[in-house]
Amino acid sequence: MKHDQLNPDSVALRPADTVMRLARMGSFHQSRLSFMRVLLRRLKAENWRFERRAFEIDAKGVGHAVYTMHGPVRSYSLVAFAHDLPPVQRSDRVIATAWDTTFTLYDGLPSDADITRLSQNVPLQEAGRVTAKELTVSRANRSVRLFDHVIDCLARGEQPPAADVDAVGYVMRTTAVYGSGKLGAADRESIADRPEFAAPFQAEMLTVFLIRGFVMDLVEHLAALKGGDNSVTLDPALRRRFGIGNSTGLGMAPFLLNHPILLNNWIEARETALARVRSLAAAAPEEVETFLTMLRRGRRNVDDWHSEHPLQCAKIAELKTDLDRLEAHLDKGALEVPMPWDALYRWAEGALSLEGQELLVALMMEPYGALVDDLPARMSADEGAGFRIQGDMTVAELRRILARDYAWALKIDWDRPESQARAWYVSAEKLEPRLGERHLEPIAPYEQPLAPGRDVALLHATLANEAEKTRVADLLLRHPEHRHILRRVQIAARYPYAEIRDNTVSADVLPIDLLRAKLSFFGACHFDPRSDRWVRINMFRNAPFPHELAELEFAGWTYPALPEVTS
Amino acid sequence: MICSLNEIEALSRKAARGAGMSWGLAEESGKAVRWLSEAGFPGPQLLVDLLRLNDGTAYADLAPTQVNGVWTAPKGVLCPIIVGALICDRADALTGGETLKLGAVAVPLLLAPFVHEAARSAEVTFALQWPGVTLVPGGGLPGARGDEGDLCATGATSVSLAVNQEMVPRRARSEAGRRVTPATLVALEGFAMRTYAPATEASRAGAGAGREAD
Repeated sequence: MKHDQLNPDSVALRPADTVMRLARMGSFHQSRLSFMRVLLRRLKAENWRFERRAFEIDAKGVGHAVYTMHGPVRSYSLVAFAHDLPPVQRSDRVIATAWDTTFTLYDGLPSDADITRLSQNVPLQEAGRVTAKELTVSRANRSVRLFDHVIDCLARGEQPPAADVDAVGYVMRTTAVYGSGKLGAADRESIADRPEFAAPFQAEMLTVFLIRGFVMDLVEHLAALKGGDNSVTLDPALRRRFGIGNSTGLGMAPFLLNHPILLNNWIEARETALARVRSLAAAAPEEVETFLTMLRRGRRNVDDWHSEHPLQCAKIAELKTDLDRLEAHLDKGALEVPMPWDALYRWAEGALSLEGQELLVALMMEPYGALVDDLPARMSADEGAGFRIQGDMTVAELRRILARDYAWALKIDWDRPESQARAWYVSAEKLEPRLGERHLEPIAPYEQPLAPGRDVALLHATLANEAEKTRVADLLLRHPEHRHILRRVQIAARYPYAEIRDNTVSADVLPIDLLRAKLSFFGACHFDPRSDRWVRINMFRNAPFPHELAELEFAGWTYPALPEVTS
Repeated sequence: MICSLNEIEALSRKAARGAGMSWGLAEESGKAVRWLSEAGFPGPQLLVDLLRLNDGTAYADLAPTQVNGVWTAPKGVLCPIIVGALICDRADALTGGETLKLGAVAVPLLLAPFVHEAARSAEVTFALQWPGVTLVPGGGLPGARGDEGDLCATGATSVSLAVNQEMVPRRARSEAGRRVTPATLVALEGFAMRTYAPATEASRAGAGAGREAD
């Protein structure tokens, strides 16, 4: 079935009022459209070739390595620096100044002079500078629990127990992956016309993919130095169960608010994929089989999902119940009806928790690569396209838009203290976004524009005194304080999924919902909130390694291995 | 130091906010400086010049009002960001062929990105003129006549904007606009610093990953 055979009107996209709620966004799961999966599909389809151009690491684990992927037109090289970090300096905080490993993705093949230049800057991270020849800058720290344990096992000639591997899931976790011009690196705009970077965050995902390969090589290298002839390397299947971890805190939380058109394009692609699948008149037996296999594998992923956070524990428990319910429903012939996916989805809306509904959305896409895999190409955005204010819009038109797209904000009583209990600000100490208590800390004068709902209410109040025919150009000349929110409103009017339709400064806002939504689009799994404002995740777990891309079939790799299925 | 355009835009936005602009106008400042730097002009330093001139001046004293067909500021010198945003917002009204007359404007080159945007939206080519300078932003790199001193002046006694009639040589592509001196960076960071709240113990706790033994 191809897109042009679908009746696009048979199932509408889910409305923004349903999708753009923090509780739902905080329940999103990775899918075929996730950026890690987009990357690996491209590397495979285009026969990208891996080359380890340098690996000069001494017995203390200090040195550098160069890992290159050769594509049809260009090559990209991860330049990795390994350090001997005293444990007392190991911190995942942005304010850290030293790391176990530091990385950059070089645009091409670095010369010796490049390596020397990078060795003087990349290990310093924020305190160093890179150039437009570098696309990303990143760093990673060891998992104290697993790194030494795996080396000890391998040095003794033993494989680490699978249960130990699964309990943590990685031997290193990245604490930042910077792109888009940070620290002097190439601007996204300067590389956006390359096909390999058409989908969002592909340079960042390639960086992390190569970091994972390097980190596992490093572990085996250190084990060989320690154990000599007794040592072994990891069994390839067990090796693939290691992902690369990541800790993400509040620094990333405002991203979705600051990139409304990008957010719209991500959500719209996902909603379009869902609508296409729901529109199908019937499910072929092999499509049903693929779905059921992915469901079983997805179930394993849920069983492997550990968190100590009470909120997440409850969500995982509910999700397991959801999966039982879903299996029972399928056993009763749920897919043997007309428009089976639409029927299944509508059943899920009433029967499953948000976690369960959103996992089902992701799973329903799995059999339909031919139907949805074109969508990631639409997920990038030119945020500048929404920048210009449409000055000739009248106040009457603006009022209509507010009533249509911001009813959720206008019905909140913003005078209640709990409606504005929080404020987003940037701390002088860390130069990173933070969320504070507006009524308890002196932060309101420093508030960042990250409360669109409240700001729309203020704009709406100003409009009460304006004539219907007044143009917003004239309004803004008198009220420059509304320029930011008016720009957002005009964007939201054109991009239905641009705005999160929830209060982002309420007493009960959970920043981890923002993090989860973004990271799920990256393709992350095993969300493990450590508080309401930072989360650990796993990336590329169960993926092939760079040297395995050609030989392995890995469709649906994010779901733990059962027999592989075709895409 | 060579900066990326994203760095230049982000720092400029913060600095403009720190100097007292609304968030929306600060965003305009960031975009304007980015455009100037991409076009090879010293955008960050021009913004520093502007922010220093207007530091502490209220919006009402800078905002344009029209008197006898000339836009002027109540306290003498127009802010190019405020008037630039107005030009963009009213781009539809500029296509009639009339000349837009401005009184004294601070750092007039900062008007160029807005005129570029207005020209694109109105689908005409505008010429921006002040004593010693004719500037034609539009269609890639801007055309410019005038020496660098006049182009980058901290003020002009009058500025006019009209549909362009003449050939003006285009500027050559250059990385010079991304080269930012330490003094300029320090000045912008000084303004940006005013947007940062002093950290409190309460906020420090739980913002990100700690040093846990795992």
